[in-house]
Amino acid sequence: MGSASSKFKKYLQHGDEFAAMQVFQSSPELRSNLDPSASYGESHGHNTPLHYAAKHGMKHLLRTFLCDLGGNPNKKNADDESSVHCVCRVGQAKSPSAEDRRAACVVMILQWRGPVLQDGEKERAQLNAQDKKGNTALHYASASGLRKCVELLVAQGAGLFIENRDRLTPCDLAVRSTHHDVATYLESRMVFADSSDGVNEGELVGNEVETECDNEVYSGLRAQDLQEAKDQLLVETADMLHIPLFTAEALLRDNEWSKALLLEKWMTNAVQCCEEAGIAPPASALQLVAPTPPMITPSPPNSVITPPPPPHIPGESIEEDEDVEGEGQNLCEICYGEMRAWELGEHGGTSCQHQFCATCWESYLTLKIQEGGAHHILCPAVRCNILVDVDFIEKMVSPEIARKYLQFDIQAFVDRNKTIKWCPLPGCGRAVKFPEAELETQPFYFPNTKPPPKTSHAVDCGNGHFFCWECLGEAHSPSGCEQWIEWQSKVAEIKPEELRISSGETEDAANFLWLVTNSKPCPNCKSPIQKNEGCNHMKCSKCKFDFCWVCLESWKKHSSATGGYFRCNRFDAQSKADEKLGVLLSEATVRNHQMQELNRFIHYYTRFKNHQNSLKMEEPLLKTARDKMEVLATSLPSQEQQGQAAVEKGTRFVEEGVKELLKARRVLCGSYVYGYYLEDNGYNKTIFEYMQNELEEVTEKLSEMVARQYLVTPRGQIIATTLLARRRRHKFVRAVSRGLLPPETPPSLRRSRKRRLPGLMGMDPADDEVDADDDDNDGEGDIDVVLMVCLGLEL
Amino acid sequence: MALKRINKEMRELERDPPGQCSVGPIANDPFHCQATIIGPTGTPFEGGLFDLRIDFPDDYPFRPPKVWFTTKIFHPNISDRGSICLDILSQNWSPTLSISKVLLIICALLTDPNPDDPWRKDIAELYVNDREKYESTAREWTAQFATA
Repeated sequence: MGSASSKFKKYLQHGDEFAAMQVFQSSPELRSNLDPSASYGESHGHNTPLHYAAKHGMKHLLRTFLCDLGGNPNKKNADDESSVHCVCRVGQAKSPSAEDRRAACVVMILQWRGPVLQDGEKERAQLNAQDKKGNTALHYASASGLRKCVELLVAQGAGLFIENRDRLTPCDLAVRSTHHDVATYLESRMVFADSSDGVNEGELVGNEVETECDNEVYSGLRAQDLQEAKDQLLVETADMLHIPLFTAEALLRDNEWSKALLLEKWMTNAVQCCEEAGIAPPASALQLVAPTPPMITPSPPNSVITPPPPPHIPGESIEEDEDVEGEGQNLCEICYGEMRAWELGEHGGTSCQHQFCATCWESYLTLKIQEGGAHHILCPAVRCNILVDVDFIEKMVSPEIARKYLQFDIQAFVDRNKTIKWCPLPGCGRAVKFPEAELETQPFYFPNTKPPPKTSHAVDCGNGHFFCWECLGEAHSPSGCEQWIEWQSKVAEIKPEELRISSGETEDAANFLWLVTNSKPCPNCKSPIQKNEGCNHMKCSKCKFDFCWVCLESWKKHSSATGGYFRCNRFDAQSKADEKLGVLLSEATVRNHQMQELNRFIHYYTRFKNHQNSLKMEEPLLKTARDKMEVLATSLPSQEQQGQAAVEKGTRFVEEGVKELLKARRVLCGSYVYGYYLEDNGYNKTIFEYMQNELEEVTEKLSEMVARQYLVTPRGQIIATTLLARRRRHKFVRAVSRGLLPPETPPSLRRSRKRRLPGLMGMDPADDEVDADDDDNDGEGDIDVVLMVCLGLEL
Repeated sequence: MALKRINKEMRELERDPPGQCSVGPIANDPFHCQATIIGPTGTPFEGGLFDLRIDFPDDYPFRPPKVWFTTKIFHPNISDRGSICLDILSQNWSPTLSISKVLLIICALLTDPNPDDPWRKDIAELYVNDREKYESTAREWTAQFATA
């Protein structure tokens, strides 16, 4: 038996299936005695015949081993690899037939059933077994690009999210070995991993009580939306004042399209309000002033029933004479031609009842529209200040001119409307509406303190163009426009990017800065690392150490398991100052202060720059998101594949996630500018930093999810994270614009806080003296406040 | 349209000429007219004959005609080049106005200058503060430039 057995082993090892099969067939001894699950010993890495057969994809032998000889595919070798691992790992050259063979092997192993176990079920091959490197069979199949094997394993429920020792998933490995078809397949599987309850997921998010933080306060408007917005406003106003639509339009036009402004004027003097707008006061306006008849001159009521008194001009008397002498009463006053009968009755163009022939009306209106004065066309009669009705204009002019009129009309609607602005990007054509009430939010502050810096609002037109509502420049909310300009000039003045080559005294700070913005040494092995993706979660490619790009601490400290995100956004001036004092004690304190100030600036600048760089890297994602959505659409769970709208809905989360990420980045950029100028008044800075940190945390999480070539997170999680990021961003921006008030605390907590932190609420100005330059915060107290803030926010 | 309307106006002027002024086309071109205003009685312009040019635009009467004095005149609302500061000749033009009405309004302007919206500030100030001086200067100018 010896020679047959060792020959067989040799052929097995070398992968010569034909020879091995021959030996096996010719040796009855081998056939009856071979245990395919018995190890060949330490010298062979504790591989079993099954391992070798699997490793070389020996389909026939594998079948014999598993079906006839009772081999167990779960048996592990010295590297903890089972047979499935071996089947799924191939060298370079793989032919289609080889791939099929491997797939057949996988099927065999998957179909294998062993003896009945304790739980009453027969033993099956363990798909998710990890070898010593933490790899599963799916890891190897993905790395080897064995698409069929991957599909088989996934279909049997192999773990998609299992990470190996290098914290890589099967998808990551597929990307590494450039098997993009496999990576794409795995991505879709991972994204729709929760597809069984995918419908519920969507409902869950949708059905949740919408808070004020779930939607943007502003809205991007297309041309047709603008018309709709205008019509809606007209209907609302008409209902409110009980006036016809045309009257509402004229009145709004005269009052910057603001209902509030109009209402105020209307209540003061409705008749005057109408006259100024160029319309005859409607019944409701007259009713309003009726109780005080002595106040009104008799003329306004007249104008309702009869045309306004003819304007008094010197030539008037002559005109009247002419009319008396004139042969026909029905002459058009413009062309002096006779008016046809139908032109007389039908004219409802103006409430003043001046009449002209159709040709003259058309010429007149067309000329006015072409002049661009569409928003204010008056009756052509001398000194008649009555507006021409919109419907009448549309009826009288050619369709082309009518279109132009509506275009000008919308233009004027936006131009004179304080709550709507055009997207400043040339040729965009969209507009943004910002509700009046939101714009008027004033920050709260105590009377004896300085008002907090002004804020601004970031908006986007819905076409991906972001801008600042206030200055129409780059979006920089929450920092105010003036602050933003000041910050820019400060950056230009200090030139933080060039500090590295400047004099020795700023070298420390400058080095720090340069390293932070350009490259950093790995905190573990010190190899220089350059950041090339948006996320702050870095992994050293040399030593595999996971760390945070901002604070260079181990990423482990950033997980929720250690009690929250590591608070790397705080500026700890005290420690910096101490460090400097030791070195520069003999030096002038002035210089120390300057250094501290520079350090302070650099602290904020580096974090600002960090988000800006991430933003730049993440911006292109917006373009690739659509492609990703299309790819994903093909593998949507079947129940969602019905109709274009459903497909769009099922994959929209990719784009939504990216958009939210970009918005959050912009706000974070702006927040470091705001933070730099924010003076501590005892509570605002703590709240600010707490909320900033919260937003930063979720932003990084979102970045990790969506800012990558292949998505490896289930859709539900991405949607939930997007929503969380949006809520935190809104809460943060809102809190800043409202003056960073301490949240309401239950009375029980309030007392203890007051005792421990006198002056926190700013109740006692004497205790509240905070040196503007001194960023020193009492460490212990701070944590208390943060906890308190945390409680308050959750409540 | 413009020509038809101008012709109608001209016929009307012929049929019923206004007392204070006369209008006639230059070189048979109805779009370019010459007008003459008789200085209104009781004003410093009494006894003068003031010539004006009237140019009609192609889209008359939807756009106002260009009207200016060719005779020098001392008046707060008329520039030394003859331009007339009158709202109905610009933003407040109405297509229902005609040339005879415009000329009548100009006559009225000669009687009642509008010092609040002047072309010539110096004359407006004089008109408000020293009416006598204003009248005498205007009379001098009328004698010098507006009498044949």
